[in-house]
Amino acid sequence: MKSVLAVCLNPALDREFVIDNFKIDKLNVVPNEKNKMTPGGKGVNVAVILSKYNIPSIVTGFIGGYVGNVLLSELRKIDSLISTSFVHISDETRENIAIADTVNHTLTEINSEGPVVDLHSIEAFLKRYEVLVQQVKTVVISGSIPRGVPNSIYGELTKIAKRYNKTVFWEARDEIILESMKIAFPDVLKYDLRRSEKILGNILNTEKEYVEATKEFIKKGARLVILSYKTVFDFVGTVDGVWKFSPKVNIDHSYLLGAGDTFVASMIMAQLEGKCCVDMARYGYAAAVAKTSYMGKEPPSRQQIEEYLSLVSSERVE
Amino acid sequence: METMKVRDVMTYDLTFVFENETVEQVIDLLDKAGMSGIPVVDTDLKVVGFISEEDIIRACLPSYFNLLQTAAFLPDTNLVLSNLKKISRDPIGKYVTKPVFTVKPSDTLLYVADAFMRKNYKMIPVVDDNNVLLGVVTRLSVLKNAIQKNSVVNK
Repeated sequence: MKSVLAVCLNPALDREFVIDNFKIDKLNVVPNEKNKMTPGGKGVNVAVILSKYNIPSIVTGFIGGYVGNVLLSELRKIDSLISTSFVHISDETRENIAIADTVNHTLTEINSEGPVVDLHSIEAFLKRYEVLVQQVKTVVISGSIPRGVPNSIYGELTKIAKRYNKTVFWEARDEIILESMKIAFPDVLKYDLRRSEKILGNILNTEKEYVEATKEFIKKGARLVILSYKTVFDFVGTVDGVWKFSPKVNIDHSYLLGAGDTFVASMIMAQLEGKCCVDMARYGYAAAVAKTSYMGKEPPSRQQIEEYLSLVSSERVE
Repeated sequence: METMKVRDVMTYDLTFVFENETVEQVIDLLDKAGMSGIPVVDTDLKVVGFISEEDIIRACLPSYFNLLQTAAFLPDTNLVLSNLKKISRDPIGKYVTKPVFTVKPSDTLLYVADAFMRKNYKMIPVVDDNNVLLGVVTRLSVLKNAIQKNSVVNK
């Protein structure tokens, strides 16, 4: 049995070009070694991180066209612990192009709009998802949703997973959570606040508002809720109370990339090893803080995470 | 080559169809996924068959065609097309190859190479001890990995 089903409904092919003295309206030549191509999308990232911790997973979602095939082939090269099971669609998979200029310190980004998924493909996906979900212990649904797929899909997928008593993790934006929680609730809910700071339709300001929102999600059925606060803090709630997690070290904001996915993957690892609730969140938080201590996409080692457990504090606030 | 196992060369891909999906849907999937055939599974992900482009083409030909060596005896060249249209809404289960030949991750490459040669398969599903789909192995993946291994040995 595979351990994890990672649902990545809207995967992307991330292209990174480092072009020093990048000029618009001119020909820019990229040396081969400065042209990187990596599979992306939050669910894919989680599966890749899990593979580094020796945890097998199946990645599922929608994939299409030439970009989709390149993504698939790149993903297969990473680790045989990652099995792929995508529904193939007509539209092209997203491609995110980033042009970094290390001389002028600029970052130019070109993101494709992404595919539109038709109803037949959604039906085919749901049929396959129900078969795959029975093969795993844990389901993680993470990231954006392609056009054509309703925001309530996280709820639909969770309802199916719950039929087979699986543990479900979500990391998503408010609009998805609002629609999906009308149908079903995950065991672990982590808010993705990168693009919108809204929680339950409102922008929260005070710590008290965050605490109340955390309690509200627990009341609605989540076993563990994680709300990021001012980027480096987290409010963590369970039925036993609410905690505020803080780092005891300075966080370099330029190294934050990938910290959220590391958080989720490490929580899953902790859960598979029998940790529960606050301990699981603390493990994920320590991993995320460890991830911000260096540049690069590689997740922190187990040893680094263990070391960082003493470099994070969890203060009970409720 | 004997020491290499299926697990070293297989593609860990779980693209599959169900028996109740239509011929048209399967052709569409083969086209989009760029595959020449695909495992057919039940709701427990157990492999129950395999469907290839060849199986679908054969289903469009008159039953006596297998006895002939040439297509020159076909009464009408449009026959294949009209038959394909007729069967396009049929469940693929009607045309699936059964029983299906499968291999295990622990099988040797020699065993798989032998199956490719003798049975003329292009792709073989890889299953676990409970017959649950784990991936596929293709002729090309065997050749590619064998040649890479060979070049390492010769260095």
